[in-house]
Amino acid sequence: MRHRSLAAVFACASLLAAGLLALTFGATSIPLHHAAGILGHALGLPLDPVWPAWEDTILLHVRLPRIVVGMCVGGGLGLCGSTLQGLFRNPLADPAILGVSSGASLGAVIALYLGLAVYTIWALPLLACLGAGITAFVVSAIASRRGHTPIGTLLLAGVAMSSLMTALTSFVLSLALADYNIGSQIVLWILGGLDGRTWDHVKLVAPATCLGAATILAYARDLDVLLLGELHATSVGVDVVRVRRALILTTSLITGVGVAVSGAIGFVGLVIPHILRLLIGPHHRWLLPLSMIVGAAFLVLTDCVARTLIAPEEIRLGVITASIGAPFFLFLLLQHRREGLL
Amino acid sequence: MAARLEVQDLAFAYRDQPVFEHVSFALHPGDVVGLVGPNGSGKSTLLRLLLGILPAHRGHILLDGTPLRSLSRKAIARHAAFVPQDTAIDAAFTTRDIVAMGRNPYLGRFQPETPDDRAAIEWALAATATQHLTARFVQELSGGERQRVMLARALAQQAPLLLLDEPTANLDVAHQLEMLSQVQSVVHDNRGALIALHDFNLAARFCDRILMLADGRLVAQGTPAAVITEDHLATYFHIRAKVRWEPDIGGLVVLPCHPITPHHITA
Amino acid sequence: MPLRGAGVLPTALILAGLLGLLTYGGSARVALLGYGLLQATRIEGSDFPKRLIDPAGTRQIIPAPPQRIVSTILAGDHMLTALVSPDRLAGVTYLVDDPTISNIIGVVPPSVPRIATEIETLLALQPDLVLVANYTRTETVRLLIAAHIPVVRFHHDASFQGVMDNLHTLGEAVGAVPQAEQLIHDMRCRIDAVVQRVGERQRPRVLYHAPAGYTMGAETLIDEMIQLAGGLNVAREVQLIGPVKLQQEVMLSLEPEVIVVADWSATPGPEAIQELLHHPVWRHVPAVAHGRVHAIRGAWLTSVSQEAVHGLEAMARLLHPEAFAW
Repeated sequence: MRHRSLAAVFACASLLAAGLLALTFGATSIPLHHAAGILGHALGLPLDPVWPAWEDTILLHVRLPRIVVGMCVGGGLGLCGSTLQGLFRNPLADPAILGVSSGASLGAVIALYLGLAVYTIWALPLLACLGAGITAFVVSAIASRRGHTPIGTLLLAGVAMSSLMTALTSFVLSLALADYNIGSQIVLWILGGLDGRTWDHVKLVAPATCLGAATILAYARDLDVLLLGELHATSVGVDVVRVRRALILTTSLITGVGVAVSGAIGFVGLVIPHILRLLIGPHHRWLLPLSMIVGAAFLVLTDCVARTLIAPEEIRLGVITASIGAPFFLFLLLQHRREGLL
Repeated sequence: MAARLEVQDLAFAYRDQPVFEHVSFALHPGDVVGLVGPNGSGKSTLLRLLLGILPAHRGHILLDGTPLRSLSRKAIARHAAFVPQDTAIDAAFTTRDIVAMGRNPYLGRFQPETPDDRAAIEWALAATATQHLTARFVQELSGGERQRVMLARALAQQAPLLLLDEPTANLDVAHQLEMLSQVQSVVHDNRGALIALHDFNLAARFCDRILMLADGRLVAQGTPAAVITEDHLATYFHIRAKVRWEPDIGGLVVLPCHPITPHHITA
Repeated sequence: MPLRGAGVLPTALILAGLLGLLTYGGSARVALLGYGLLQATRIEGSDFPKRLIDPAGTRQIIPAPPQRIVSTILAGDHMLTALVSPDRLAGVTYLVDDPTISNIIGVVPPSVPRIATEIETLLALQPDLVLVANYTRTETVRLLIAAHIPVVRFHHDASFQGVMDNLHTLGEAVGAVPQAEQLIHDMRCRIDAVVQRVGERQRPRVLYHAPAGYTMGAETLIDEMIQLAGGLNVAREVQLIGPVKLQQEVMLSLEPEVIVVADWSATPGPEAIQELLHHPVWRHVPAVAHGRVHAIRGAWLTSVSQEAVHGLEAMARLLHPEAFAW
């Protein structure tokens, strides 16, 4: 029997624990009582600041916004992953599959190459969202025919656009390599990471992610029914075309904003929903929120590891998620093949 | 009383391949209508058109007097319920989960199940004798049991019109008879049912009227005796068969003998 | 459906491998450099024809003082223009005309072709000596050697001594040894002058802040500059070697008293330091709080040639202005 409530409580607890852990540990060691004091002081408690100013800055302006961004991005990735897996009835679907992540990457890389980030901190995220939106639009336009969007064509269009976007990104990168600094910036960004994320980034990613999440959660029942197939779903009154369009748009928004803020981070959207589905079953009114929560906790924890393990240097976040995600993914593949479920 | 279903001069084609045209018929409350036709005649296509899944090229479809075109998806689902042929399910849902999906046309986005919904689900389970399967995963059920669960889901929709596509395809003989008599009793006074069938005997036994779809049109409609004739079977199904009235069961018995190759067709 | 531990082992292995690479990779690179695998070319012989011994082992002959010298690296351009007359130059990099990074704008006449390291262009120039670095594409270098063109490979060195060694090697290769010796002598004098003036003054803690959070650890030219200019490189406090990307947290916790950034604009101005001065995260750092954030011309800081001495002098003036008041 599936103890869904237990799983939910555990997920929330792990998110809280991850947040606290990530706040406490980092490249520099801040004593626990200082950390507690800084947080208390920030919440308005009357405490004497016995800690140095740089600890305050690190905790509230370096680590905390980074954690919040990590939660939004990780949560968004987990949510989009479970949504797309339900939408395409394929456990191997993830936000990258519609080519949206690659489109967002291209937009961001162009912003980096043109040096637009110098003018405003919003330049990169805006171009990334633009890239994500254009790709999503082109993919659904290619794959739609008289209002009907066959899944196979949609996936192929997504793969094709993804390849195109990746190729263009490589092209821009090759141009940028003439300038060592910009070239290295782009490469680091492509590898994905949360370093240097500020409260401005939170302002960009949090509202879009929350709005998108609320929208997707409203379609939980539709996603359940869609799992049976288009014919079954239509026969019980689900407008498959409309639902698909809404969900693709929303996942594109969330993915675009997430990629804009943190670069391309893979495997979170693939592995987390899959594991959860094995544990708590396919009902989306549980699967969607839990994918969000566990995805958020996972990314915050991996980011904490990324910036603590080889301090004062940092491991790129995308590298760690791939290192953990890829073997698990292969393991799941083998599991499925053995049981003939793929 | 208004017809449950009215079809006027319906035509459909896949790209440039015409499937059928000039299809007109009506289905009244209490009718159990069988739909027969050779492979490729468009039985499944017709059912999809009636559900609004495919767009009609010409003609009108009216559900309880309302044009299909003007109804929303949920509204269509409240008028007509569908029992599909393919029951393979790839997700870990229980029987109750599946039957509960039949209440989708009545539930808003975040609305939980109401007592009315629960009552409808219970009734559907009882009517198809699937209460003992409630907590089991549909993936683990036999083909026949799954078919009955699909019927239960359609019943939970409480739609006045039932559309069934080869509901007896995976059932053994006993369950075939059981399922169709369940359909009969549910339809009894107020509902209507349109059942696509391959088996002429079952069609003759359980249907008040038969529609025969062949050669791109509705070649015959009427009582089983009028439609399922040796002549029609030879012309449209290319088989030599014996059709007899059996007074013991009060129904038609069809005994297919052998197929007719084209140049053997005679008038 | 229980999750078996089968996924854990490969994950652990991959992570361990990554960790190893990250922890020891940097040291491995430094060790390799130390073992001479990527050292510079040696010239043997006091008169032409001279023998040229490539670090990869190839031996070539320079029969006479080269008259068609091609440089594929900016450092080479800087060194060459100080050692030989322009009519012996057959090609320089296109960077010599870039005001943000070149210290020799207008020195090389427009008649000398500007090139990248594209092999066909190089061969078409018919050079009799080509200057490359240890980071130039190996295919290009091999093709040049196969075409019997003498190649001098410079180690993109990380110290003033290294720069002087490069100058000496180049002087021998082009037959301009007296000029090279003079240049080296001048460098030494200027460096000594700086060290003299700085004297025993108290050393401020300096952070060199490059874009994307990079800094220079030990065994880099900038680290040596900071040392000679009378400062303490905070990157050494966290045991960094070479160019390293530091986490923002660490930079904040080091609390540098002076921050130096490279100014990459054509006309150095105050814009380079604006971002740091107004960033909310850097507000409380002592260097920002006391207004000791300075920009030095990037072309001086990163030129692996005699021009680097300008960077040293500029840095010393910033760190100890009172020592240079007269």
